[in-house]
Amino acid sequence: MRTATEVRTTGTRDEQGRVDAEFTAYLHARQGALLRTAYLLTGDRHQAEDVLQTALAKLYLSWDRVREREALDGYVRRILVNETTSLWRRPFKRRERATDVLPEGGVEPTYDEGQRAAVWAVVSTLPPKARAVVVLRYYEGLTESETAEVLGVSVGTVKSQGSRAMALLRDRTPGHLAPGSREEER
Amino acid sequence: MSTHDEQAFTEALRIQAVGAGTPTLTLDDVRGRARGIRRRRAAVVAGGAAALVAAAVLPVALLVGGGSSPDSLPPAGTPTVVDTANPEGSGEPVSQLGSWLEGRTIHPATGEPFEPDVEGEIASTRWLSDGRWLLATYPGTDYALVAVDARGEPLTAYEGVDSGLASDDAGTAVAWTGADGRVRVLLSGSEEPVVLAARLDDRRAAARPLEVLPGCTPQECVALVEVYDDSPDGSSQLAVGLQGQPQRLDRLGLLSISDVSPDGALVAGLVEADELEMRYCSAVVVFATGEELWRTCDAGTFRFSPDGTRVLGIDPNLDGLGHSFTEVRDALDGTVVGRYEGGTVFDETWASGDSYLVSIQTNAGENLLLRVGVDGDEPEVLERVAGTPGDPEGMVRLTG
Repeated sequence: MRTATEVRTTGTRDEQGRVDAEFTAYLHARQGALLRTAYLLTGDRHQAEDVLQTALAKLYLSWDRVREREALDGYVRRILVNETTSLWRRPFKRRERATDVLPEGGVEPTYDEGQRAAVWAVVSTLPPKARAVVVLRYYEGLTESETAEVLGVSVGTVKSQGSRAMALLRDRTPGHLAPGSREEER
Repeated sequence: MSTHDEQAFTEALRIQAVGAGTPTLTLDDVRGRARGIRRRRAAVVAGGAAALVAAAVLPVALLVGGGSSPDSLPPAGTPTVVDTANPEGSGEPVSQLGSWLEGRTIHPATGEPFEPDVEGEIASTRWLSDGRWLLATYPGTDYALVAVDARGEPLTAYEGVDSGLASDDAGTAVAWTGADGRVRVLLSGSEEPVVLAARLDDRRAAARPLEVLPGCTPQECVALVEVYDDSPDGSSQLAVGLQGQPQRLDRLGLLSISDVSPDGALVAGLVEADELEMRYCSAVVVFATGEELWRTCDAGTFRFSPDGTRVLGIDPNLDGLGHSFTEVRDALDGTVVGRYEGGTVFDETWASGDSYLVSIQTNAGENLLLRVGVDGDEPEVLERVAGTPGDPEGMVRLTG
């Protein structure tokens, strides 16, 4: 016969095992995508890994509080954004540098390096939340209302920030970004 | 906005995102970080229980002091670096508290505006009471540290890594991290920096200096640093001296440090962060013991006034695209003394014991530098620069 303590301990172990199994499945499935989002938000690989580890740790601690499993990514995104913007408020922020050499595979590039670098240069100069708007809207593909919810801002703010970022991009890139636009100009 | 532009943006970001590399986090990594977060939260609840672990390298005055009197440190009779020779000629220490940077032009609180004769983007600035300025710059892809005189003429170049500058409140010392992982401290009146003892963990990123404690001399000097290490939280705050091992600052129960009072007796920082609830709380604690004097979840990122009696903070919630107000509180009990709401706050710093500078952007996109009195008088406009709403270009930066 097990004592009450042994019963509680076993129950706790079982519960922890369930959380670990569920979390591990989530980690394997989503950490790659989340790391890429973190990288776009921070502009630095090491900082992205650090911020993501913190975000996932906070998710792990809150695992049973986030009842809706489809909301997990949204929860992590919100932490990533908050962690990134709090980094901005620190007294010193390391300079962001665009990645010079990209790893092999994954994406079939249809734009040249100059255009990729130009877009990244624009994104890097945006204030943190405006940058988050761009990443969530144009990389993550969230709707304006979903982006507003993650950032805790109004839909109007998301719209205006997206428009400003796009206008900035047009101003600062040598040619139009749209596929074939240079051809069309000729 | 055309659909083609949006698609182009998305495509370019997807290509860039590949640069993130391959994820390597394991369940153990995440659980380790989670343990650290839980431990820190528990430490906050436990309050001053950890105070018994007082750091041996800290100056005695810091360990026995609990008040915030500006004249409690440095100890009477102890020569300070402001007594040393002034290479700029006057011999009198100069305070540049309340200076700012507009474009590449430094507007010193004392003296004429000047543009430093240095290459590249100016990343950080710190002033010394002997009249010099230490600048961190990015000439091309490099990182450089250069001391310039009050006219902006380069004097000395220093070796260092890209991890920022920190100083004390009197302009007697500026710190940075060298390539060997050891913190350098340049003292007012000296050309060669003193080198602190510990080689700090720089495997993940170079240690970041946070503050030079008051009373730093070639014989005794302590700096606070943040190291990015293998601890569960990913970083730790340490006190580093001229001799001995670094001392961990876990007793403070702070998730991060925003400032140390001018006498070194009090520390302000973040004590609680709950992203799920969007709740961020900050506190002022006694440095020697970790005793929490007060905390609030209504403002944060507190910085002590030059006399140490007040703190200047901002709203903690990053509402919208930036912070929406500045707030002054009593340093010892947290009572709100004054508040200013006039635009998106970009930067803020004390200018004197009873006024501070704040760089804001109005809803119309105008960038303003204001001097705000804690007495509630109408703010004085010091600079007005046209800008674009939401774009930080043209915002006035405040110097440290």
